[in-house]
Amino acid sequence: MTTDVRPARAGRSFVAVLAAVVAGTAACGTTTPDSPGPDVMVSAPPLAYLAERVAGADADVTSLVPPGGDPHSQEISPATLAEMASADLVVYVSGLQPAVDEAAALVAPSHAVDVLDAATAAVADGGEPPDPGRDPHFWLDPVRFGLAAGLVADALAEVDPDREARYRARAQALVDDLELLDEAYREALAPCAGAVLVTSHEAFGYLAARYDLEQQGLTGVDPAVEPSPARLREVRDLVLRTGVRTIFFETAAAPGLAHRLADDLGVGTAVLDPMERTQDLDYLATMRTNLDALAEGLVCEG
Amino acid sequence: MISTTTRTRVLLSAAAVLALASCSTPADGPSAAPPPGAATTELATAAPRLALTYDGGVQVLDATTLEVVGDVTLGGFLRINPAGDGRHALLSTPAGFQVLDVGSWAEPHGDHAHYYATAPSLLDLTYPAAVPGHVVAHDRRTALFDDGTGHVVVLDAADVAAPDADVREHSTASAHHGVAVELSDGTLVVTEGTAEARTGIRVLDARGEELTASDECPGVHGETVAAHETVVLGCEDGVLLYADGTITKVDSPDAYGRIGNLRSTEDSELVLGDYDPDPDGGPLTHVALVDVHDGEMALVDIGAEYTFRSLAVDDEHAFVLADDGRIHVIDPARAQVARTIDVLDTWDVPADWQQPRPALVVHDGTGYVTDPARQRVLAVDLDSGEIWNEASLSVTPNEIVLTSGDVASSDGGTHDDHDHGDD
Repeated sequence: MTTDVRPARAGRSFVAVLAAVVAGTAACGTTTPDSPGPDVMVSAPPLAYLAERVAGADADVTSLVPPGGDPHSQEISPATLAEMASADLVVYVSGLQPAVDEAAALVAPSHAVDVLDAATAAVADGGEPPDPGRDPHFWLDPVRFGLAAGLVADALAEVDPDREARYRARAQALVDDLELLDEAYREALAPCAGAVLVTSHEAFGYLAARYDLEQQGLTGVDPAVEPSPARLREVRDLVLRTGVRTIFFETAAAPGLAHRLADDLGVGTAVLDPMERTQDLDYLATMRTNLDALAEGLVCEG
Repeated sequence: MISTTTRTRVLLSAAAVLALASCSTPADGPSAAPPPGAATTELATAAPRLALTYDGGVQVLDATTLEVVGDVTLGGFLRINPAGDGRHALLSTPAGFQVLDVGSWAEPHGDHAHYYATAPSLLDLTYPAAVPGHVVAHDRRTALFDDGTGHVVVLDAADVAAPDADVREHSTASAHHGVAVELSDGTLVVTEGTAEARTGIRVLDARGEELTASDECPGVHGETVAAHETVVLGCEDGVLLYADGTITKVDSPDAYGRIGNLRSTEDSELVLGDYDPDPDGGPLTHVALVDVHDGEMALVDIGAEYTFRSLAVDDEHAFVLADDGRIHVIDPARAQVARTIDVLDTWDVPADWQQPRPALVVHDGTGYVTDPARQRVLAVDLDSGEIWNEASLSVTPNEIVLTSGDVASSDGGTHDDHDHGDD
């Protein structure tokens, strides 16, 4: 299934420009005649993992975001725009990268799949998911990520019907893995139901919704920098109010900060990776690492 | 929602795509990424920065680590003001107000923001002024006053670095050392006077029609905006308050009692001003506290001398950095010094207002104090009095401003009015 997100405000002249570019590129004949498999472009590391799992060796998956690039402020270079225009499929999640949304809206809708549908779909036991416009990190919920696998398999089957069975089989294999992952999460976090998850980046709304955690954001603390005493007092207030024993950062806290938090406030630090910018992401492994950090750091029973 | 900026970028890209639409390999196409030179990094949180002027340029420090992150060379005596967008500052140069990118900023993303930093740089962008004077940033609008012509330029703070920003312009009747501020409904409060005598204010609506005016403010100088968008202006015999269409005069306790420099936050009814009862300009030893709600003024004896760079407030307290080396923390409810914080050696107030002297700015619970005598900057926790960071400088700091590196809010934040004591 694909989603038409083309906004009415995309100017006609610009569409014409893009059409000219597409025509120009196509005329160049850079693709081989027997065209092996579709070219797939993805907008975020988890979607790269997803597309690679579903497409296997049948497609060529490339990322819109350069390695180490910041997915939020991603600007679409002309080169990338041209690549997008000639790609067989663009997989993205709207709301994460405004520039990507805009560019994707200009790609033929049949060739763009917005997996946001997986974020907003009604699912069992999904809790109260966040507003994806504010927190689009739906891949942190393995069940929703499985839905996205289905969307990508559908889209690939549409652009490359000959290999439909292979796409669907691989998507199913991924869904099986995700079900195991979900089971592991449910089992490990069952005693932690209702626990407060304090994060320096409020990207874990989907995860919190699925596993019955209460996310609270800690703003203004950079894990690399020891904060001011005034900021530390705010952290202390949050720790006292929530009773947490761990603060989760996106990256490892600098030793100075970690010691300060441990000595002054008695809280530990841990890394929880929202997978926004992880290069060569191994989704399953990262989710397992995140789970270990949660099980160890949350205040749970027993 | 797709921002205008993003749209522009994509459209620019489209033009560039056309340029390379012939059979070239797209991979090496020109990047649409803006500023050339320094790399931009994403940060986990807002990174406030300090910009310190010295004789020969501006040094920029990270306000948390106090590490120098950049140095911009520029000759002459420099005045510096925050531009109001959390990222840029305006330097007064012979040509006008030149834009300095202090180099840390935030981009809103839903209900949170993403934070970035790059090296500070002086932009090739100057708002022309014959004699660049006061800069007032309020509610995401920034008003620039040209003392040489009496001309006022007001623009969106967010557009201050855009070469073709839309500006509102207003010319006062006569050139004077003045100040202007635009309120959220487009009301413009602007001083009135001549080079010889400044007399009061005019209040204009968004179309420039006069709403009200007052000529009961001899020597009008200094401006701040307190809670409920109450504009406060200093006079030689009190202050004028403007709020909701009405101007009110609050008299000084002395027949001559000059208030020329004011500080407030936009969430507080507390306003701090300097106070000088000597028409010849005596040493400043008392400060004025104005309650804009009750329209009352109280004086507080500091018991030491201070200068126009000594004053700061947060939502609850007023702070005065005096020549006894202490920050005097004033409890506004009792109108007295509640406690003092030892920060510096004793120092002497220089006679020439352009000469460096210790300066104080307050941000997020920390007071930043410059120490020209020992070429240092200190970070003081105002709650505990702890000096939690300090850095030695290779230059003698003069003026200091702080840019938050955060999204400029519609209200709140310290309202800085960078004044001086020469007239």
